[in-house]
Amino acid sequence: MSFLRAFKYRRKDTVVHRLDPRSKFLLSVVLMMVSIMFADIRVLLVLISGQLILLFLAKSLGEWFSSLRGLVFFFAVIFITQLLFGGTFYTGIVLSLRLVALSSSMSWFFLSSTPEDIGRAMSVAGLPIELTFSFTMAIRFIPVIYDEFQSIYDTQRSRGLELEKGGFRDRIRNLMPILIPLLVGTIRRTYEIADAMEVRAFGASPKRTTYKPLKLKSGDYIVCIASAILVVSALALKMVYGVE
Amino acid sequence: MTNIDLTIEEGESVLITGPSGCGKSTLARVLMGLIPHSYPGELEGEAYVFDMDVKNTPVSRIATRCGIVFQNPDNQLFTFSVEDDVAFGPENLALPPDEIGRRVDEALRLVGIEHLRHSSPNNLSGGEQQKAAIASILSMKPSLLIFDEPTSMLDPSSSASLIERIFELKRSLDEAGGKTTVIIVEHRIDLLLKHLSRIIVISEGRVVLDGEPLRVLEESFRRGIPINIPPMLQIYFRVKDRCGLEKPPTTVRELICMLGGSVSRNG
Amino acid sequence: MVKIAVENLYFRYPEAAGFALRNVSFRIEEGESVAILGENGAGKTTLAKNLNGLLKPTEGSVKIDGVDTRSLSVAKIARKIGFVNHNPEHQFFAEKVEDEIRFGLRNFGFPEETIDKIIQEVLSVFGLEEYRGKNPFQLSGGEKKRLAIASIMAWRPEALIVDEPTIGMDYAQKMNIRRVLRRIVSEGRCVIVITHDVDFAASICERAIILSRGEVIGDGRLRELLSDDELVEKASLRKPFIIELEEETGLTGLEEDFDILSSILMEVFQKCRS
Repeated sequence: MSFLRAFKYRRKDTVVHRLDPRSKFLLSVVLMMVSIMFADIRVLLVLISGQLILLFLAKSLGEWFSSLRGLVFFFAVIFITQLLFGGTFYTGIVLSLRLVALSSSMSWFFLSSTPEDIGRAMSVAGLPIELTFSFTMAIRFIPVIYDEFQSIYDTQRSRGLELEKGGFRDRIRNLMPILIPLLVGTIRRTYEIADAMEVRAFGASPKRTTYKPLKLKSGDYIVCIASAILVVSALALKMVYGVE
Repeated sequence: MTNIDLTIEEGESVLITGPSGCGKSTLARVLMGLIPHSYPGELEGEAYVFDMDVKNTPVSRIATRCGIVFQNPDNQLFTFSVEDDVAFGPENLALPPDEIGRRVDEALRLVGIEHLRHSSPNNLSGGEQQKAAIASILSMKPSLLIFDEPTSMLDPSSSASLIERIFELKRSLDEAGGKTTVIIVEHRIDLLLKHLSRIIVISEGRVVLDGEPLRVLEESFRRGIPINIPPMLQIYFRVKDRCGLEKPPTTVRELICMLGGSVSRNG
Repeated sequence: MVKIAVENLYFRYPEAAGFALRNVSFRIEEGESVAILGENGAGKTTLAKNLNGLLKPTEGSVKIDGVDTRSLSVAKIARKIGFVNHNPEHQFFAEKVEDEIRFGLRNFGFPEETIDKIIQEVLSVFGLEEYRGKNPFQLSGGEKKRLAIASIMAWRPEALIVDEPTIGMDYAQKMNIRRVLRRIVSEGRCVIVITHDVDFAASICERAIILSRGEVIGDGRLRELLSDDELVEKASLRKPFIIELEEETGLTGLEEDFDILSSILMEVFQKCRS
């Protein structure tokens, strides 16, 4: 799924990366709303060019472009369904542009915010630390557990295991030699992680502090004001000028 | 484990070793209070760490005096940057942010990984991850450091560099006026030997030997306890009486010179 | 018996920027004992997985008895070339030790009547008879390792690749694994040991292939390669104790057995005296 690459955080030092995740999230939601509100090609094009500027500021245009290739499949689906179910070529273009606008709003946010920042924003929003921490840890350990899976899978294949062999029931049974070691390993890992957290006093104090508290800086205020202007002008375009 | 009686003084560098499955890792977990708090099982008798009774003190309290680095480098770092992991402990202690900042700077400097500050643990080598794990323990300012087989998943050059770093760290903490105690649980003896003040050998859940490193190794050799005695000493212990050697060689060349010397002396 | 031929092998992981292996070429003849040496990240395990078809070359080729691995299934190759993972717990899933051994035999279609006989034999050869009905996860580290090797050797592959057999092992366990591997070598089977434990490698293997950053920087007799200071340094390895001893004394053909070594040394110096 190459288009998923447009959502994977990459560490970079840019104006956008330094923004507070909360203000970025606000702008990203506003952009998504706007892209759903309008069916006018001009508006969508303006919106997308704005997003391109944001992606450029985040030095992430490359990732965005490579994700476009992954979207080709979805464009095809859109055009085919439009043409089959009474739409026009024009509506196909509109919907495709909308898809681009939607996915860019999200990818801009995810490309530039660490999973940790997102977790931090979640806990500022009032979610309990246990929950936000589970979220970041899940993301942190996905590649580690994936490596373990690969190693187990390779080992069992070298013992003659062939997953594709046999009927449905055989195939389910064939999964056991992979699932059991993976489960045992993951449970063991969970214990070890819990130990390591405990010896670093996790849960010791109900009022945990944060080393890098989230602070809104001038850039964030600009983003917030811009989001507000965007909402107002979108509403104005829609209601006063009647743009579709 | 049965009937373990031990006192370790401040400032010592102790190796706890013994055949696999002898109970050495269990002992490390008792000292941290992880046993009996987090594991089922029976703990009889008493264990005190800095006058804190491990049975009745929460692990998080013990953690402010005593830190432990575990075997598996992968499972000790939970965040996306080394810096955040080092800050994790002090954050849990609810310290003010500027104090945490100072501690993070110092811990990274002591372990020599300032350049990895913003790296993600996923992208570090095993040796670097272990160093980051040490830094994340140091930020709690413990004066007792326990290492539970810290090099068992590392290659020889990373292991050597890690061990050197651990004792450099102890030296610089001691120079700054502290009295840091290091307890290492390990199979590997060769890399550690020159740094140790004491070796404790555990076998079948009991302390069988305890004392000055060389004496302990020689005694385990005589009794045939299967611990990893460095090759040089393996030969030294076998020939020393018959050749009248008085001190152990540190290099192969020295061993040969000693043997040659003893021959010419005797002849 | 099996022959492995690697020609201009390049390998790159999907999505990785650079090659994990570059321009690797060598042949392994039947019955050879080969150590693949190098520091972590040198490409040892990647190379091993290319040898048994778990990974297929990006460029170049790996041929088993003249057949390209690209046209063979992993299972087909595994029947000839066994692979033992560095972590035995990555393979255990059965409730009993004997069933762990049974798994491979069934996969390769051995008739049920012979399976029991083979299991009995393998358990006794590897000293695991008393654990037959025990849960594999409850064995000690050294026993787990032996079971891992036993469960592969059961179907008598012609070659065996062992990844990091000594990691986390104490001295006695290492000696046990050494004995097991040496026996396999003495049966005329090819043994390929991937390790950074040079002393262990020197006690088993005749030949070494030394990797550094994905390239072969040395291939030849293990003892010759590891007495080359420059090469040892370049590969971040260490000279095995036994080779240092040979160099300092001028003796040859020493083996890592400290009783014998000590008496040889004493004898040599006695002789010098008289």
